[in-house]
Amino acid sequence: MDKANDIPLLKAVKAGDVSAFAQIIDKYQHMAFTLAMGIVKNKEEAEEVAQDAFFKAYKSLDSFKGDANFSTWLYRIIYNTAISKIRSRKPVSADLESKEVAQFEMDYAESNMHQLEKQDRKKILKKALAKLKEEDAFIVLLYYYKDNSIDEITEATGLSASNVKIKLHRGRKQLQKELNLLLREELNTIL
Amino acid sequence: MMKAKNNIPEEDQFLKDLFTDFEPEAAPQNMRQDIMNRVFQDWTANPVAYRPMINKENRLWILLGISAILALTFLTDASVLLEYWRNLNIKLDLSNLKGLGQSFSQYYAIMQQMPAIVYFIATGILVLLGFDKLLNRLANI
Repeated sequence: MDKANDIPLLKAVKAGDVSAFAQIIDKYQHMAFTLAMGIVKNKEEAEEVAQDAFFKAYKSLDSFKGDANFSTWLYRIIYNTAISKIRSRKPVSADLESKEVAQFEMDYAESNMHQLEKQDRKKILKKALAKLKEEDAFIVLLYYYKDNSIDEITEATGLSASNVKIKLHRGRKQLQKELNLLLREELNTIL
Repeated sequence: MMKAKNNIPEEDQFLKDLFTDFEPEAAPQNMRQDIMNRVFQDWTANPVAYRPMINKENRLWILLGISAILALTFLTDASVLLEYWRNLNIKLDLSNLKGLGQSFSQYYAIMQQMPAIVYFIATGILVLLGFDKLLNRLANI
């Protein structure tokens, strides 16, 4: 989708026209920030991760051969930078998996989501995404929002295809659970 | 309840539909500027530099070598070299080269039919390219 448009810009940057990199930032900054937010879960760190990732991308531009999409390559840098960031933190005791409820309430979420306004749906989805486990949020965003295939996500994360599928499955279940909880809260306030 | 489209599992379709409304978080306004500041800082610290064609350390030796070759060229009588070659009396088997000669003569005949302007333009382009390359390299020695 973006490969053809990115390549002249990347060539210009490689040739020494660094101002062309600003256009790359303009194009990907929001997605980069969103993906970083999905993993680190707070705005300050997400900004730091996104900035570091763009700078790393600039520094290692020579290693980008153009075999894959630039976006996939950039998402991989974001993923690695964000994972390094959360690993450098002190261990957090909260374990989302231990809180996970097995009951699957997709019908409830689906029927109620349609009752809400578009703006509310967006808000609830963002809140639900923020509750997902770090890597799961990243994978869910690439899969459902960016329409990436499992292969593309494998390339962007460096994880095996089976691992991506497991995380996607877990992320999907967790997302539905969080949507249900948030919807209950929302509907209670409306009623 | 929403129906599944194109054999996509129903729960997947529901989430896909949900994400159609999704918009990425807006990145902080200063982010672009901050990244570009870092990029420009790095760029000024490590400007793009051409790798010189001639190694600076070896430049003296290369110049001396070229001077020596030029001196030899001017001082040597070519007829002496030709005489020496003849005295060596080396017999080359040229029978295998006949086919090659024929190919060259055909090629030469084709080339002869081309208008002179083609040669002028081709030579001009090559000279300009060579000249440009040479100036680029010399500018960084």
